[in-house]
Amino acid sequence: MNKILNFFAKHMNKLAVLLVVILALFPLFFNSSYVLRIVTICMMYVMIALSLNLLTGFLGLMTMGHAAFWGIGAYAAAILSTRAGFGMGTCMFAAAIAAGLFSLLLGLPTLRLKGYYLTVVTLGFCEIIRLVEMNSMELTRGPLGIAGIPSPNLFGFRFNSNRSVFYVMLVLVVVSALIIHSIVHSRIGLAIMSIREDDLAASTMGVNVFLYKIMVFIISSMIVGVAGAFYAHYINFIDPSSFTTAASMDMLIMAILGGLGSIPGTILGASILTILPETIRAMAQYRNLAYGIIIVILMMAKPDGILGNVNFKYIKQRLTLNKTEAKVGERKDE
Amino acid sequence: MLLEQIINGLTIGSTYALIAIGFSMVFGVLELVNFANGSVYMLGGYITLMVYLGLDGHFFLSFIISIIATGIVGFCLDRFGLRRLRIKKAPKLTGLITTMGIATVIDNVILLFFGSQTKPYPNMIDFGKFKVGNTAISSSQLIILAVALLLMLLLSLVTYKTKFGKAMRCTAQNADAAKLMGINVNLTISLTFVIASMLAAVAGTMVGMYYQSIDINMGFTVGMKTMASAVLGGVGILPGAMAGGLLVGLFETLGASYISSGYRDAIAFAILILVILIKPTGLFGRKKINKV
Amino acid sequence: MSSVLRVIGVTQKFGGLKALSDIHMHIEYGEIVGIIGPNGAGKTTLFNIVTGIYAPTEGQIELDGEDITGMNPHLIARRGFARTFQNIRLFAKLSAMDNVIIGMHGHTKVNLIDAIFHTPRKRKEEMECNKRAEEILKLMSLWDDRYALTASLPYGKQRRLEIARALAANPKLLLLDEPAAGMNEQETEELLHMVQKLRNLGYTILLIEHDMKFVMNVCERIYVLNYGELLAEGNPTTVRNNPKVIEAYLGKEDD
Repeated sequence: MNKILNFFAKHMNKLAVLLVVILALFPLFFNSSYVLRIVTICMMYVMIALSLNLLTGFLGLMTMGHAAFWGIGAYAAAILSTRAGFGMGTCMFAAAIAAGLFSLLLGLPTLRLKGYYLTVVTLGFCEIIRLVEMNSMELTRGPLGIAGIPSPNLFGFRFNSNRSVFYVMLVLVVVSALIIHSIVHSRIGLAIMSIREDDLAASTMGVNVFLYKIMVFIISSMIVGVAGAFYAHYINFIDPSSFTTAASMDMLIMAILGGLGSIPGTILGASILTILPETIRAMAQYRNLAYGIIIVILMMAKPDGILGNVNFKYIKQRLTLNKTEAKVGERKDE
Repeated sequence: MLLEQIINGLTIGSTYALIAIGFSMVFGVLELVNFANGSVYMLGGYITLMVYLGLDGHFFLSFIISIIATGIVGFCLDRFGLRRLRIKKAPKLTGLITTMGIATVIDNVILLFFGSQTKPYPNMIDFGKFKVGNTAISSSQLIILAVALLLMLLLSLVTYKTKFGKAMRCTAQNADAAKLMGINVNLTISLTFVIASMLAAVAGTMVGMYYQSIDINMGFTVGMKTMASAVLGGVGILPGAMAGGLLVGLFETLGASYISSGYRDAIAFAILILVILIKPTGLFGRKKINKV
Repeated sequence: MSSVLRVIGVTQKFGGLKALSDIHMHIEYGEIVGIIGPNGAGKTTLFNIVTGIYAPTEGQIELDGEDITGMNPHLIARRGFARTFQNIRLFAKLSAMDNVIIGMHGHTKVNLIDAIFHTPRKRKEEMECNKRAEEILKLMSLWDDRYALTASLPYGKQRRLEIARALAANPKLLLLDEPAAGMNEQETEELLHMVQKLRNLGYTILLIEHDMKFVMNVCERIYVLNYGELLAEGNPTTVRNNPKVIEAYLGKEDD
C-alpha cells in the first residue's frame, strides 16, 4: 500500500496531466451518448465536490447550503439566457457573481457562528432559497421551472452535441481544480488549514480568520454557481426540486467519502458516488436503499474518507528526505 | 379563531418538542447532529400502523410495541454503528454522514414496505370536540398536549433527579471524566438513543392520529424542523428543545394561516436564523467559555 | 526608545470574578522577564489580554508606544507579538515546517491573485519563507523532523516547535506560557540554554513559569502575581527574599 501511495505522491502532477489527456481523448473513442452523459455529469459533481471540499475539508466549516448556491447559479444562467438571450460566457459570469453575492450576504452574519450552529443555519438558508424559488412566479416561474434553456453557446458557436458539451465541462472542471489546487498549495492554503486546526492559535499568528472564512466561502460558492450555470445549459430545464437540502447532503457525502482536505480524494469520492448509482441501476427500487447501506458501510470502514489521512505533499517531501539521507550515507561509505 | 390557531400550533409544536428533545439529548451526550432522528420518528408512526393492521385492532398494544421496537432500533444504531466510530476516534463529521446514510436506509425500507402513497391512519383519540368559551378544541389536541406535557415532565425528572440523568449530564459535559468516575459512558449513550427514539415514536404515532394520515415524506421535513427547533432553543438543553419545538409549531401554524402557506416549511428556519443572529447560542444556550 | 510592552492599570473582570486588578508592568527591549505566581493568579489571563484574545475591562496595553488595547489578535500579531500556549496549540495535521511557515503569516504580502496565478512575487516570497523556516528549525534542533506531522512528535519537540513557530514572525516580544511544563531535568536545562541563546540573538522574552529554578536562573526581572494582584517586582534575589512572596507560595522555593 505504501509503495502505491509513494508512487502517486512522486508522480502526482504527471498523473493528473495524464488523466486530463485521457478525458480529452475519451469522446473520440466512446461515442455512446449514455456514457458521455454519465462522465459529463460526473465531472460536474467533481467540480461541485471540490468547491465544497475547499470549504469543509480545508477550512473546516460544515455547511449544508451548497445546493442553494448551485441553484442560484443555475437560475441566474437560466433567466439570463431565456429572457435576455445572453451567451454562455456571460451567463456563467453572472452565475458566479450572483452566487458570490448571496454567499457574502449569508456569510457576513453567520460565519461567526460555531460548528453545528452554522450547519443548521445554512441548512435553513438552503430550504428558504428553495422556497423562494418555488414561490416567485414572475422571476423563477415557481414549481413550473424554467424550460427551454439553450445549450451553451460562446460567441455564436453552439455546443449542441454530447461531445462538445463534454469538452465544455472538461474545461470547467480542470480550471476549477487548478484554481483550488493553487490556493491550497500556497501559503494562503496553509492559513486556511490552520484555521481548521485551531482558529484561535491561527489568529495569534496573524491570520485574519473572519476575512479568510468569508473569502473561502465566496470562492467555493462562486465555483459551484458556475457549475449550476452549466447544469442549466446542459439539462435545458431547471426547477426548485433539484436544489434541496437533500442535494446539499449528497454533495457533502461526496466531499467526505473521498477524504476531506484531499483533492485527489474528493475527485475519487465524487466519481464513485456519481458512477455507483448507475451501476446499481439494475437494482431498480432497491437502488436508494443500497446507496444508503453503502454510505454507512464505507463511513464505518474508512471514517476519515478513502484518502482522508493521506497527504501526498508530505509523503513526497518525506521521500526526498530519505533520498538525501541515503545519499549522505553513500558518501560516508566512500 | 386566533385562539384555535394557537391551540393547533401548540399541539403540533408539542410533538415537535418531543422530537427535538430527543435530538437535543443525543447531541448533548455525543455532540452529534443525528440526521436519522426524523426517520425514526416516521418509523415509529409506521410500525404502530403496521402492527395495528396486523393484529386487526389493539391500538394501544400496537403503540407499545412500536415504542419498544423503535427503542431497539435506536439502541442498535448506537451500539453497532456509532460506537464503532467512537472507538475508531472518527471525526464528528463521519458520524453525521453515517446518520444520513442510516436515515436513507430507514426511509427506503419504509418505502419498500409501505409504498409511496399516503396511508390512512386511525384516530384512536377522537372523542369529539369541546367548547371552551368561543373556541373549539378537539379531544385529540387535548390528549396530545397532555401526553406531551407529561412526557416532558417525566424527562425533566429523569434528567435532573435520577442517577441515570446525572450520568447523562456528566457524559455531556466531559465523557472522559465521566468514565473515570465509573460511569458506563457507552451504556449511557446507548440509552440516550433509546429514549430519543421512543420519544420520536410517540410523536410519530400521535401526529399520524392527528392528521389521520401518514406518508413517507414526513420524516425528512419534520427531521429538519425539529433540528432547527432544538438549535434555536439552545442545542443540548432540555428546556430549550421544548421551547423551540413549541415556538416553531406555533409560528408555523399562525404564519401559514395569516401570511402565506407556501413558505410554511421555511418558517422554522426563519425563526432559527432570527434567534441565532440575536443570540448565537440559542434561547437558553449558555456561551461556552474556551479555556485558552 | 519606548518600552516594547507597557501594561497600564489593567483590570479584568469575568462576570463577578476579578481575574486581574490594576496591573502595571513594563518590558524593555532585550530583557528576559518572568511572571510567576500560584495557579489561578491570572498569569495566562494577562497573556491573553496582551495578545488580544480578551479586551481588558479597564486599562491599556501599549506595544512599542502604540495603544493596542482591545485590538484583534491577528492585528496585534502583525505588530510584533508572538506567543506559545500553556496547553500546546500546534496545528496537529500539518508538518513541523508548515507550522513554522504559518507563524510567518502576519508578514506575508501575497494575496489570492498571486496564489492562483503563481506570480513571481509569490514564488520569491515563498523562497524567503522557506529559508527563514530552515534557519529557525535548525536553531531549535528540529530540522530533521521538518516533514513530520506535529501530532507524531514527542512532547519535548512539540514544545520546541511551538517556540519555533512563534519565532518565525520575528517578534518584537516573545511570550512563552509555561514553556518548561511537563519537562524533565535535562529538557528543562536545554530549554534554559535555548532561551538564553534567543536573548543573545536579540529577542525580548516575557515568560510565565512555575519551575522556580528555571525562572530564577534565566530571568533578569520577575513579576509576582497572586489572586490577580501584583505582589512584587524585582530581580530574582529580591523577589526570592520578599516575605510576601514566600508567604504566597508557602515555602515552594526550589523545585
